[in-house]
Amino acid sequence: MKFVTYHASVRGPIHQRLGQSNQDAVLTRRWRRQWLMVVCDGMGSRPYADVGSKMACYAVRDTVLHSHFAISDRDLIQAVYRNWLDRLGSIKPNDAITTCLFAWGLSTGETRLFQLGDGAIMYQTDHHVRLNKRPTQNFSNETTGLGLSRKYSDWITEHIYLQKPDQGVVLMTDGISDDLVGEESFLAELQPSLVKRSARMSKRWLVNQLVNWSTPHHTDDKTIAFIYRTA
Amino acid sequence: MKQFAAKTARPLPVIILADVSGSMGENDKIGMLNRAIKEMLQTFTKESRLNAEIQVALITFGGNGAIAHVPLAPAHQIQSFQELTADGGTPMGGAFKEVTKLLEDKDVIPSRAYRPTLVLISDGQPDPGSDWESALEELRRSDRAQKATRMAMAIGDDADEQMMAKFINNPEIPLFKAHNALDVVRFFRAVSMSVTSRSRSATPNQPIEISYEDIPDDDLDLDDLVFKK
Repeated sequence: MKFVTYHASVRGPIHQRLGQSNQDAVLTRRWRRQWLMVVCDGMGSRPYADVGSKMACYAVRDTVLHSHFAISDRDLIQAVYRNWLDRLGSIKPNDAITTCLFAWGLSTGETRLFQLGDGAIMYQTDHHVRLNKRPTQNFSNETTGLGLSRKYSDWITEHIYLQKPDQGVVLMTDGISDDLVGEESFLAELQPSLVKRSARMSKRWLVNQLVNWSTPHHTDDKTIAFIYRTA
Repeated sequence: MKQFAAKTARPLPVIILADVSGSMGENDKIGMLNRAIKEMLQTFTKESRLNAEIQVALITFGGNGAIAHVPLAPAHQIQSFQELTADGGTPMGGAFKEVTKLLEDKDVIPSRAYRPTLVLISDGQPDPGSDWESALEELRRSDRAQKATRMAMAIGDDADEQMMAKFINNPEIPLFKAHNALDVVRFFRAVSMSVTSRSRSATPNQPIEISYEDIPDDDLDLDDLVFKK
């Protein structure tokens, strides 16, 4: 079975205006028997938000590389957290708060999903599913994340199986998910738009879509990662 | 992907709870309130197309009970509003219930909205029969409503400052005490500055610290309109 990944991350208009860096981070990897996608959104009010989100991506990568796929959710999350703290070094976790969304899968199609904080994980198996919705008592930009929450219960986890061609998973930061409408058909529309282009052109297309995001006065950094099964 | 992007900006709601009881008619406090709210709307109209869409609602409490005088709408779409008139008692509890209901309504204020700002204006004691204490407690306990930034202005010497201080939930935005007409205008300028600063900010959910002393006086010659019995 083969899986194809795409990702893009763009700096939001407000960070461009203020000369600040992109505080989102993304990492996708495909190995021989497994694959990984991570999307993190550093909390904008924190001085090391960009470091926190990058380190979280690396922390997840290192943790899954040294873990058996059957590791429990709790043990995996604890290992990710510890790795992230180690990577921060002298930076206080509270200064580098970040959301952490990742999907870790095997070439068999078996896939594990993890989410801490806002943003969205959506997947298409036999149905379109969104892993979670923002807690309805929240307002925009209210989130939890590494450095803020130490509670296992703040994580949302799920085990799915991508068993047919064209089934896939998308991860996105709230710069996209908060302004998304008609999300039920989002994956079904996204995939053909990417597949019909070459790898280089699909990347360019994806970046272009995020840069020219059409929600009025949008400000946030925007990051997306997508994987789908080809056969 | 364009078809999946929301076509409206994220809202930044501002909800004004205005006392329109009979006493607000003395010394033309109500006239000054009308003028200050209009000025605030004009300011928002100029600013509302930045990083968020500033939306405004005006809930009044007076002789007609607590009513949504201006339902929540984008500031730039509120061309004018029916001027407030002073009459009757001070059913503040009803206003608290009304605003809690509004803040809990996710169809009106969606979760993609930034944290709302509530602004309470009163010159007197709440009617005991309006059950204001339990209504305020309900507002403070509501999962959603409690997250709004709450500001307040006490007009004149008869305002229940102790009660209004309880309404506020941010020590960096203290109770504003208006002793004359110019103070009313200055307060609303502070509200405008706070909200527009948030709408320009990279972190619009963070409340902006307000120093009322820094609000510039202008050319309005209103200093002699002192709110006394």
